[in-house]
Amino acid sequence: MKKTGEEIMDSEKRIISVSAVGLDAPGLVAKITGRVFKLGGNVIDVEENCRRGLFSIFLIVDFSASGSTIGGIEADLRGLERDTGLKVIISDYQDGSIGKENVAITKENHIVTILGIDQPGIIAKVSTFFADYNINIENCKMIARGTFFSMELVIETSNMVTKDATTHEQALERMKRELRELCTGLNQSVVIQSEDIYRRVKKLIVFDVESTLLQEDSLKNFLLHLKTDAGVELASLSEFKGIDMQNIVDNAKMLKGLPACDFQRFSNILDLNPGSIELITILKSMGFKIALLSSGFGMLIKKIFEKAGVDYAFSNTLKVDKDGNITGELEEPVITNLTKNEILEFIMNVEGINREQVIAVGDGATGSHFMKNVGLSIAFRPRSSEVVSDGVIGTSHIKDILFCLGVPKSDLEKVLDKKKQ
Amino acid sequence: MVSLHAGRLDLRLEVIPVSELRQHEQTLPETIKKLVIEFRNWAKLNNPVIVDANNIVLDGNHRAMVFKDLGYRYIVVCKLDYFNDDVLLRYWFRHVKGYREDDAGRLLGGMASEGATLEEMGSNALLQDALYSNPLSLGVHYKGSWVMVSYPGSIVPDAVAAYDKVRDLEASLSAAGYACDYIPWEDKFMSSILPGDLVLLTPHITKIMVVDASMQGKIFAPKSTRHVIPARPLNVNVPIAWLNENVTVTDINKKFDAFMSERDVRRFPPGQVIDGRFYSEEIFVFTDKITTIK
Repeated sequence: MKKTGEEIMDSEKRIISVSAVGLDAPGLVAKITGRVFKLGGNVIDVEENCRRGLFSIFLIVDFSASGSTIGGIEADLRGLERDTGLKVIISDYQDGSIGKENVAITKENHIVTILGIDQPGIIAKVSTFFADYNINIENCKMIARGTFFSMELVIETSNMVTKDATTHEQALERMKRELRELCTGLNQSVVIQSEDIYRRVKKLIVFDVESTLLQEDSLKNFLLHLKTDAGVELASLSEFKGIDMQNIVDNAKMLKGLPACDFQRFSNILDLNPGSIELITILKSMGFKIALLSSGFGMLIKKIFEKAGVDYAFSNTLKVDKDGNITGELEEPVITNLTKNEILEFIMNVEGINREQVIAVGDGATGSHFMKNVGLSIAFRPRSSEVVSDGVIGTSHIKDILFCLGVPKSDLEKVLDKKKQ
Repeated sequence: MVSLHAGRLDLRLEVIPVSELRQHEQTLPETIKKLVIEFRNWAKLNNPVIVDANNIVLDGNHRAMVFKDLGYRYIVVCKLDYFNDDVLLRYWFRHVKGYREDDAGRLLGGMASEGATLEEMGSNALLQDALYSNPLSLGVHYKGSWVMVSYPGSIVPDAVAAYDKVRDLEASLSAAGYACDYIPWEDKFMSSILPGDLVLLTPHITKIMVVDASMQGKIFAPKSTRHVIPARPLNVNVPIAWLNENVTVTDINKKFDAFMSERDVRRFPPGQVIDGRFYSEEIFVFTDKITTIK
């Protein structure tokens, strides 16, 4: 078809958007892009998705080099409805970003992962929240749906309104805090992470053992055995409020004289939260290095190491005398919440990685220095509302951390099924 | 030379000529083959081999032999006092699961027909004591029986011959279709043996025997000694290319010392996991200088 003078448009006007939706079938992308190619179009952007048997595609096509008129191109593309059964929408495309290479650079993207028990209104409330902040949702996808819900959104915050904050950074922090509050109200967990190159190249996941992997009930039983069977009077044994392994470490002298083999036997009671070993195994198969930091003793660490294998694990060691009895002293250096950060720096140094490539999982307590300034920090079931982390997971399943890494539920189930076989 | 202090034991890191290493135990060809491929492609020697004052290799025997095979001039070693009480000489017991009763009878009968004296000791503890007193003897445990087997001096004249005998027994077990597991001696292992399992309690040779044999150029069968070293250095990470330079031992050590002075070292107590391995000993881990501790 020959172009008339009126039909010869400038290059911007010869860029059109094509979207098509309908029932999914093999070969749809080939039919659509094949037609575009025949018409002399060059695809400059595309996104295609299949969801529950439905197909959608969105293309931006430059027809500047095409010998056909825009009217002819549009008519030809509408013919795809007949050939594919899809509903095709064609419109002119005008966008300031075309041909401007630095648009992507000025963007400030974050990944927001929301997870919890499903209920109506989560997406509506969260998206309204972002709209109020003038935050653009660039992408949104479900990664788990059923009783359990998980959604990943890519948001763009460069044009976010600062409201009464003085700087953009302050506004960003306030937005994150308010989003956490909103999600807590919706009974949802939320994790926010920057979408930079490091998001895709995280290399090390470091767990605070006591607050994430250790089953709390087993710790209570362990302490009870220490008291009833070994007569150890630890300060925190009278009531189980706020007990943590740190209490025992702080009071290691109370264990003086206890045969190390008895302590080892009681330690067998210590157990892991369900799913911990599976989580470590899956993370390892995804190529992550795994590090465990424990301010408790090494018995549990050894158990995890023997069951799942980890790359790094640091814990405290009780000194034992020549008769096999605990002396009440700890081997130096003693690992505490304060020194965990130093150990993390040490591991990063050995591995030759930087802080942006680290994911830290703990309870997010204000003393968890190792969780600060890492690439992604996740507070798992925090005891306090004051947390130092990019997000909070309040569910009881430690494996839910995988959703924050973009692992879809269906993929996770496949891996777990394979492992069961 | 770099010195590290681990309680009562001093560790000394230095570079020595590969030709001065003394092998005390035979290597496994398949392990050597694997390591040769690895070392050809590695840029750094991560962990030094552990040697005594006479350069007898106590730990890292395969790595040492690979360095020899690849023609390297030098190797980094961690030198320690073998006779320090904290350095333990232990053994690998041979564990055979599901051993048939008639085979057990044949095994002991065969030993007796070779001239060995068989003595029922009554218990694990008594057998272990007897083996310490008779370090060239070996023990056999099967179905509640704890037997000490002592060969005449004409057959087992020394510690190396005692382990050659173990190797021969292993070969005959293998020929009969049995697989041997190498088990470090531990109370928890002895209590987990099933009634139908056979255990060969290997000769409880002494450190002096190991040194004497090595100094005479005699080499023990594979899996003879198990040295428990209370501390070890890790991640020394010396560029392997340096170890093939045509320089004097003094010069290479100067270069090594300068390199190590630019590195940090961090000590950890026993019970930590580094790079996927559990260390039941104290460890000294070297890293590049840590400049940012937040």
